[in-house]
Amino acid sequence: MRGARGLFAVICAVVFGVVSLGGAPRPAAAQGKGPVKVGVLLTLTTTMAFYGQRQLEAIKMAVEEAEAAGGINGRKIELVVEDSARSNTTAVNGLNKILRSDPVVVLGSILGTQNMAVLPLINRAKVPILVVSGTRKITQQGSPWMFRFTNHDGIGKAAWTKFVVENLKKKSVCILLVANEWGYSGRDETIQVLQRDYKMKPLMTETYQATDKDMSAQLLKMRDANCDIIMTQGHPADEALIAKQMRQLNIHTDRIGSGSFSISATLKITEPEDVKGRYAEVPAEPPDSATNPKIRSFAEGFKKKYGHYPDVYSMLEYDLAKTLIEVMRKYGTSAEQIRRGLRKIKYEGIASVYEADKEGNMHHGATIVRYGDNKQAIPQATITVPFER
Amino acid sequence: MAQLFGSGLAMGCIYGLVALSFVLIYNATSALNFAQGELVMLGAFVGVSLISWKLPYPVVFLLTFVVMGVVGYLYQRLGYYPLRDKPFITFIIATIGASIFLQNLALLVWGATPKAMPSLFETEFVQVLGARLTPENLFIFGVTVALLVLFYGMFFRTAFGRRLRATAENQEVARLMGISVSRTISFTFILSTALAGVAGLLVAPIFLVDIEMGIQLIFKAFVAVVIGGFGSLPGAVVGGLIIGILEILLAAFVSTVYKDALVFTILILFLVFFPQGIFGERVAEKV
Repeated sequence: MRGARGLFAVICAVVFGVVSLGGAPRPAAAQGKGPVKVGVLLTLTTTMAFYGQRQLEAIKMAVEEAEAAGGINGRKIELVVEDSARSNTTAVNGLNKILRSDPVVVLGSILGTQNMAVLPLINRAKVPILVVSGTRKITQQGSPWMFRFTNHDGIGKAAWTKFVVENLKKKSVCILLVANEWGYSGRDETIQVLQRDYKMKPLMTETYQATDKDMSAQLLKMRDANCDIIMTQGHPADEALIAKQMRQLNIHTDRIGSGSFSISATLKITEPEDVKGRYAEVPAEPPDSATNPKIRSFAEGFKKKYGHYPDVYSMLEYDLAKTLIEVMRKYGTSAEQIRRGLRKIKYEGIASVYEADKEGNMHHGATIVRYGDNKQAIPQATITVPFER
Repeated sequence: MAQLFGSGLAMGCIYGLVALSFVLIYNATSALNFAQGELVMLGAFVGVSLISWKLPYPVVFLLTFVVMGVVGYLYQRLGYYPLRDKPFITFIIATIGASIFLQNLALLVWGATPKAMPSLFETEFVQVLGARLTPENLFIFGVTVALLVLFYGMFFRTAFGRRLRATAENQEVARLMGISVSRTISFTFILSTALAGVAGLLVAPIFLVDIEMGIQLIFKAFVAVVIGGFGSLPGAVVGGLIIGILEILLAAFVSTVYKDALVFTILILFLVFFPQGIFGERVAEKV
């Protein structure tokens, strides 16, 4: 009996201890002493790792440059890094762990589903989250803490639809998408633009599961339906497989891929003939074959440091980190100051000029590229969409 | 239609080989090895690495078989042997752990970026009955048939095959008959893992090789095993072929969204109404 009472007392002590710690004042970092803690939640493992690992390299590069130039008004930046893998649960657990270290801001995952999953936690913690993630819905949840540094599907899909209908003069448009939030977001925005601006409907819409390896049934259906062009919204490995299988099945229909089709990891696993003559919609000119001198110089610097070129998303992540550093230097390092600063700032980065619209979207343009003989991306059109602050 | 059938058949052969390797271990140990998909993945990565060293394909094939055989032996010694006297559920849980371990090991060794294996043949495609098939598809079909004949011969025409079948039937009686059960089980693991490795090597040129490629394969192989009849070797292959063809026909004519859901509905229908599968015994208890 005495033992049971003792145990009860210990449990009470632990519970009250935890509760009281939760209400304890924030440590020095948030009060302006010691390093500025920045949470980083990226897809560092699984097949999505080639996004996350390059993004982390870009963040570290921006931080090193900032520290070499005096840090954040004399303070260092401490990155608290967690892996979100390819699972929403892992992302939520990772963010919980990051939040325990009391960061002033979080740099989030590229996956829209993960950003949707962590948003309630972010809202509760009142910490800004900055992401390079295209899924339309993530900035439409009414959260004042979400900021996006790539174009959302509303911009990207308007750009590719305009290019397909007006420049390529295609009439029978088919959409092939991965069955998840990213795929549905691309499909819905494309259909909306087709109907609203051109009074058109897609001839066919087909999906595949993210784990599928064989898209031949979908591709053959599209070939037999005489699609003029296939628009694909998938992840890098799927986009590469579609390219490969289109060649194997002798399908010469034109194709435009999502931004995933443009990244170096995708191009590395395709043959030149898989991608030659194909198009891709990208948030900015891909750095590995860019002609823009600013992007070129960044790409060469990145390659010198890490031994490989950055892809377009790591370039945007670099811009994100640089914008954040500028905001913290100018407006302060508390979560609220960063949020307000992001609303106010107009920052000229490598790939774009970043400025928040009322949803928290910072990047408002898209580029269409066409692949040449040696997989080099040749820009075809650049579209910038007007926005309201 | 012929095109769809050809692609489905090739995929079915892969499911069949994975199912066969799955059933071999099930027969020997009465337990399910949920890391079988990761062994396929490991075989594919080993094959890609060997190919990148510019070794000729027959040598790559042989070396993958040998390397995966060694992996199978280690897997048995480290994963199964210490747990052999525990309830079979212990081994099943251990295989789930092994599956996670192998995925992360592959991530560490080969990285996160999927790998592409170059085409094995000069010819891009072969025209068969109006279908444009890759030579890899035909190669998969040929190798599967050859392996089946080989396995059939070994199981039903050799003394070793009799020992394997006796061990699968009843370990206690096999032991009383003088069969070294542990050695037979050990060999079964080697054979099964090498077979899984070959399946990985075969599938690598038509898909991409990544750390998650085994997950979907093992799920489909499991369905194939149930449809073919749990424990039946020909059933595993026939089940694999059925799933491969059914899957692509469902995608083409019914729905690409619900293709997997429909395949798993078929699994449930088989378990409820036809639990013995096509070639097997009643499996209600086993499943």
